[in-house]
Amino acid sequence: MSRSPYAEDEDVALSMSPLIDCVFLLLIFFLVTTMLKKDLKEVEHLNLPISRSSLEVPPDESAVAIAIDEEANIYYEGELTTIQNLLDELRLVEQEDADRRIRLDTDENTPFYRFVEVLDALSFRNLRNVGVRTYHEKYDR
Amino acid sequence: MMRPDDNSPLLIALAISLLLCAGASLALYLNEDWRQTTFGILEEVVNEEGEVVRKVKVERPEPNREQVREISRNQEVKKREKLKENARKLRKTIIELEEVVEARESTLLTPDIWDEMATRANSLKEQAEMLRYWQSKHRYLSRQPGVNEESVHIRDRLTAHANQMRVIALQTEANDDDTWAALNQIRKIIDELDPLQEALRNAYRRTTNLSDNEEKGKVERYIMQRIDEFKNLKSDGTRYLKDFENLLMQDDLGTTEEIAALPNTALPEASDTETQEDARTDTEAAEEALAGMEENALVNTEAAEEAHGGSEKPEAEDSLPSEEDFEQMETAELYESIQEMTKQLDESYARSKAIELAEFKQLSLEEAKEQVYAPQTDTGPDLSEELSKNQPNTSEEFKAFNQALDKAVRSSERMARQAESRLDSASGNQSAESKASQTAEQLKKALSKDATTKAKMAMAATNMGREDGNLQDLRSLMNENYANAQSSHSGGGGGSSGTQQVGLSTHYDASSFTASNPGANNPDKISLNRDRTFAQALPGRRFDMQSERKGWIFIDTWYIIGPWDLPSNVREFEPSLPPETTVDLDETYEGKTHPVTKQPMELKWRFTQSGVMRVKPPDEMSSSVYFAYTEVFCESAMDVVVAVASDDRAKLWINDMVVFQDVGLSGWRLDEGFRRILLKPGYNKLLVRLENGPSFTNFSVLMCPFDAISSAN
Repeated sequence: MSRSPYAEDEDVALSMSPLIDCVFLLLIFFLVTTMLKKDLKEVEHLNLPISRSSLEVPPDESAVAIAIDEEANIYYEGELTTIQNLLDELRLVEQEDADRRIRLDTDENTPFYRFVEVLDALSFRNLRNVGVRTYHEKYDR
Repeated sequence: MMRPDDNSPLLIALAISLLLCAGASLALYLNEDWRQTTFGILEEVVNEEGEVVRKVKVERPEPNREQVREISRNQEVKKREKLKENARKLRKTIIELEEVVEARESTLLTPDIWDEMATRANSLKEQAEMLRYWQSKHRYLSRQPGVNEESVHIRDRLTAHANQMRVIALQTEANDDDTWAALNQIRKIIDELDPLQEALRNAYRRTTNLSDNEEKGKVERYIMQRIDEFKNLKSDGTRYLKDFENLLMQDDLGTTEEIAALPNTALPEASDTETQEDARTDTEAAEEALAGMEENALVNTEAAEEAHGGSEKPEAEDSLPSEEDFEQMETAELYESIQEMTKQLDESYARSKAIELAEFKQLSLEEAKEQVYAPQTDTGPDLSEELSKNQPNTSEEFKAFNQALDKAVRSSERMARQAESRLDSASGNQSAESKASQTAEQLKKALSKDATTKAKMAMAATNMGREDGNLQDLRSLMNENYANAQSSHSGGGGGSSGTQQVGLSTHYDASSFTASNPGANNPDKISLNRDRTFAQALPGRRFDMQSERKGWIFIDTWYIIGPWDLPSNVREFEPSLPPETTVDLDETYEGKTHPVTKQPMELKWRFTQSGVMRVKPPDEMSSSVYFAYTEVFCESAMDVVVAVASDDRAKLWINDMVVFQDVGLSGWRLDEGFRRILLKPGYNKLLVRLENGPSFTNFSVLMCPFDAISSAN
């Protein structure tokens, strides 16, 4: 008759290994489900347009963020700015790196003339790597 | 065989761990504080439409007071360095600008004899303008043979002469060839006055032969008035010619008199007495002329002293905080001093522009100050309170402080940048290095050269008395101006002018453009196939060397502002309006009174993109003035023909130089005038002043590389 390995133990000790297993499981669970939001320099009150044909590009912190809101105000890197300043800033961007990615965030109701104006300014400054951001379930919850 | 209770410890452990997990989860779920300090909080935010917008926030544990202070100290030190750097830049810019202002002021306040002569030429021109204006207002008189043509001719000739004199006056030392040419010019003009006199006399004679009625008396009186005006013009002109001749004769005898006659502010009395003594030994005529000049000179000295007294102010460097001050200042003080300096810079800039205007249009400094627009730089938000809280206790306070620091750095950067562009505009785009190495005398010379080139450009640019399709070659003048700005530009500093482009050569090979036999391949007229140009011209703003299509390009994208009231005086393109001083696309101005609301309209720069060649301003109104601004990009220096056409008249500046100036209220025609110009590599600024008389208005600016035109021909 085989003896139970625990039979001789007078004091029953708690095994740590399953506990640690559980804790690791929990940790992995949280790691997978929690999404840390990157600083996208976005403008809070924008209501991004929805598009089904848009490409999924992961957020990129090196991209220059330009936003235009409903009232046609312009934001550069999340800060309210004016068209003259934007033109100056874009000139600097062009001098530094003309291929830098540019992210254009616009509201659904942004006046189209303003959008064209900014696009034209970008194209005139030879900044061609421009993307227009649309609503995305994953990033814009 | 294993007994079932052999596994019991494991089971118990599992049960306990599950219980622990459940307990922890429950505790976390119930207690918000624990959640906040351990994991992220799921916050539910409901927007206006009732949709739930979820956001994940990860909160870090609250650092204690010492830690917060430590972090904030580090941040402050880092950002203070940036602020200091900007402050130093700004300070340097102000000092340089003050030097420019002083140099300009000293030339303005010590007018030489040529300034005096230029003023007189200008007043002659004004008389001719008035005569022409009143004559054109009267239908009967305008119908008389010869009157119209001759008065226009005289006005144009006198305008040209006044421009010529301005060029002479702006030079530090008058060029002999130029002065003799000017003398010959005015001699001819005085001779040409006779046909007008004849025409006016004939008109009067014809009027006296008319049948008697009320009208006749009126017309007679009107014509008599014109004849009186003409007599004044003629006598003034003859006197001016005589003085001019005397002046040049005297010059040949020796220039001592002229120098002595200068109202030298350093030793006014001494020079006056000397002059008188010297003058006695001279010829009769010279003495007479000199007396007249002295009188003028005395008046000038008084005016100069008066103006100088009015503008008494401490030296720029004394009133500015020194470099050591920057080190000692608190961050809040540093930011405030940057704001202060920006205001000071604005004042200096306005002064510099006023002096420039006074020099160019022969106004008194006071008048020019009234006319000139003083732009205000945005000094950024008031952050003194936020910045003074540099001892934060909590992370919330630190965040506010850090944000204020960021804002301060950003707006100081912007102010420093704007200051540099102001300095560029005030000193005629001279590079930072060349200014630093210049002595006051060199600076004065450079400024005078710059002003002279600009005056010459203005003279060459006007379409007055020129036929449709005329082509003026402005390349050598523009090249002079660029070269002036370029001298010792090789270091590659002063990036704000925008010519410092990656991969762009900033050097102009002047010889390749201008030296190669100017006579050959340089037509003075271009005939343009209107339909073909219409069909083939493409919109654009960039000239690339690789571009496959070479031909006419029309500038389609503009920032347009207006309408301002078109003044109903005789002068065209006057008075000077704010965009001529500086183009700031964020600025708003008060414009024309709205016909319905009777309120002055608020003017803003508006983005306009036109699909067709002719650009229309957005708020089109009759009798108004508009400005249009844009930039054109070139990869390398380019030899370009520009065609400006407008309804009714337009004036075009390229890189602050007048390139085209239309006359009269003509309709839009593609070939109103062509100018052959040089564009510098990088961004070239274009400003159009569009004046509209009655009804519609539009304008177009077309450009074409010269090679494309010559190969097409």
